[in-house]
Amino acid sequence: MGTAIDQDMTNVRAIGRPKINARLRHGRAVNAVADFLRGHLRVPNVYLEPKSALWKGVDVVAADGAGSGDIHAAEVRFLSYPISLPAARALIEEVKNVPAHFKYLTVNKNSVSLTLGDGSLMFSPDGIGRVGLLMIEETQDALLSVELAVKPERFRLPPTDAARVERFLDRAKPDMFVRI
Amino acid sequence: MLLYHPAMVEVFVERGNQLADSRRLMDNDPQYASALALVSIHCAIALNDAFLSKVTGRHHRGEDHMESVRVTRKQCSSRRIPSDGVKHLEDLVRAKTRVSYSGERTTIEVAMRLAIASERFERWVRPLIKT
Repeated sequence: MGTAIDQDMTNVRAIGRPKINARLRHGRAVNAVADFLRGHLRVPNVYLEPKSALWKGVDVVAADGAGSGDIHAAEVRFLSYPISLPAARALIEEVKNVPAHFKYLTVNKNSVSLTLGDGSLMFSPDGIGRVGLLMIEETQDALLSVELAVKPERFRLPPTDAARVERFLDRAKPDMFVRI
Repeated sequence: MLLYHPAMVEVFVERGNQLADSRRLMDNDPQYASALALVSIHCAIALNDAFLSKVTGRHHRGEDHMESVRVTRKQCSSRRIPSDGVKHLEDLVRAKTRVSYSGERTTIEVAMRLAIASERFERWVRPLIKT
């Protein structure tokens, strides 16, 4: 895509780059991650910042196969300082506790790096499941791109969590879905 | 005594199988979006005809496929069969006119959504049409 604002097509004269506060920045990242998942899954139902205790800390939930398939959940965290291995471990553990089959941590690419050690902390203790890592990069045109840096591997979803997720899917209306 | 002709049910099942196989071949292929949508719809219609042939000895013959959805619901109700799968058939039948005859191009997203509905209906109906 070209520039974020086409000055020939609009009457808006953008002066420099838009000033984006933390809330706007986070919201744009949530949208970018949702678009990424929509492009990589099979017409998923997508929920943005779902208002449910089930999804505490989760910014995007995508139920694959129009809501009938695996659950993908992503947390978005903009990092502005170097984080240590213990802090990275705590962040990853938080994502591991999310009730989903595929779990993603999303961080900003052009920030200070996230310390992952040898990467083994991304795996479930039983080896069934690996947290995926998405990187968000802001381009010169203030556009966001999302890149998959670590491919997720499917976690088991315990039956009690599966039941809670089903109840959420039954009552919540998705923000993005395909109408037929 | 059987109330249905196994051979007739078999014809509809075979038709449904071929359409389901076609659906799988074209899955997620933007070059075949319209075809994917159409086979998804007709796969469900064929498998539903198999179900109705089995439970009533008759299948739906008219142009109004929504009538066959109503008959299916009624049969489920009278036989105490959970009818949660029928809503997928209803979605597909409702989309049929638009996909078949309108001047709008079918997008791959819509085609995929119909394919998923077809799969979900198939999952529901298969155990009911086993002979």
